[in-house]
Amino acid sequence: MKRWQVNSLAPLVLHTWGAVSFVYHRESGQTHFINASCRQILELIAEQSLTTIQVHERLLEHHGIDEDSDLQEAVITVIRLLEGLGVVVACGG
Amino acid sequence: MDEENAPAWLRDLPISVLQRRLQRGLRCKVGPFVVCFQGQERSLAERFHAHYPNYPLVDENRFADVKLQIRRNPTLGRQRWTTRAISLEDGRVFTTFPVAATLAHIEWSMNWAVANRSHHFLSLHAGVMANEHGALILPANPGAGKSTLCAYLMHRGWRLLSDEFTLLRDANLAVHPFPRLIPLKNRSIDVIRELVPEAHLAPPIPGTHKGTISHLRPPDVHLRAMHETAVPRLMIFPKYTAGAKLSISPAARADCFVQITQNSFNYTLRGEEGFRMAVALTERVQPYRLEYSDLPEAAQAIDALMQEAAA
Repeated sequence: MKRWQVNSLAPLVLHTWGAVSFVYHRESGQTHFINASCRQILELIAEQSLTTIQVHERLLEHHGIDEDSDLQEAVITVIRLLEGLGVVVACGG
Repeated sequence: MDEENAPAWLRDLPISVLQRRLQRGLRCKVGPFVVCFQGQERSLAERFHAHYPNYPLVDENRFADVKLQIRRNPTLGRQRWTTRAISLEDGRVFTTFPVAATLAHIEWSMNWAVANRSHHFLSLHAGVMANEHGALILPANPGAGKSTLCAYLMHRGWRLLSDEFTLLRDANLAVHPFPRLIPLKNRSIDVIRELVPEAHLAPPIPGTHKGTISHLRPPDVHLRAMHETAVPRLMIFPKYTAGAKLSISPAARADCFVQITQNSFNYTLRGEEGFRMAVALTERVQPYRLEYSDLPEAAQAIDALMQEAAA
């Protein structure tokens, strides 16, 4: 299963105001406007490379909730989006 | 020292001397930049004397950040006598215009050059004024009344840093003044004439792509302070709406950040440092939205907001 990691050698450049965050992506020079869920996923992946399932499990644990298929779908969508932007990349099979 | 090199201010040069200096290349300090103006005609010297008298002169050998050559239009036949052209350093025609619009095109060409070259600053398309408490930054889209508001505030106790460019430098976010003529457009001309009878307005230039324009000359005191930076304290997003009641509301910092990046000429070029400066500026200022139709009322509200921000 693919593991995901942040596509940068340096730490994330991110600033948060309330529920809104802005992340500066060094590799592309672009600034992305992200919501709280996206930020949480990005920060998990920035800590260590994770599979989509691991991200999902950590979010369940963090929020103290049981299995949630909507959340899993959301994780897949967000990671796909971040991959499309070049912010995260797959790093293993 | 000869008679031509002695004066420190453009106004001190007699027209005939000014014309000779322009023919060789007249260098003036305009905020943090040295601008070299070059042109042959006596009428150009007269324009400079009338509209740029308070700019300090610098030595003819100084490096110029911007060079503007104002000359007859070389590409047209009959219109050669009624139109003029501006070239930048490469000597190619940058813009052509009717003689009557010379002042507007000198100003626009200078804007273009600074917006496209001055990447040692984080530059925002925003007016910026200052008082003893710090700088007030006014980012706005064209038509929002930014220049008119700056023109009014300039005559009501605020110092003009610029009606168009907010130039920020270094981690301390010092705002560098770039004081210039303020181009008032269409109805704003009469509004300022009425509210500020002492305002020094150049003859209106009709038929430009922005309508009729009249340039307001900043009083001497604003140009004398062109080396004094200011610390950002307040950011207001102004919006003029005819007949609107005064309305002020705090702006969300995230919106403020977006506005800063969208109103910047070179945010992307500045890379990660641009991001960090935009974040720091967002944190530094108190951001508000202001809708108004009455200038004195808006100015009073802005005074109060600055007092509050400084408290």
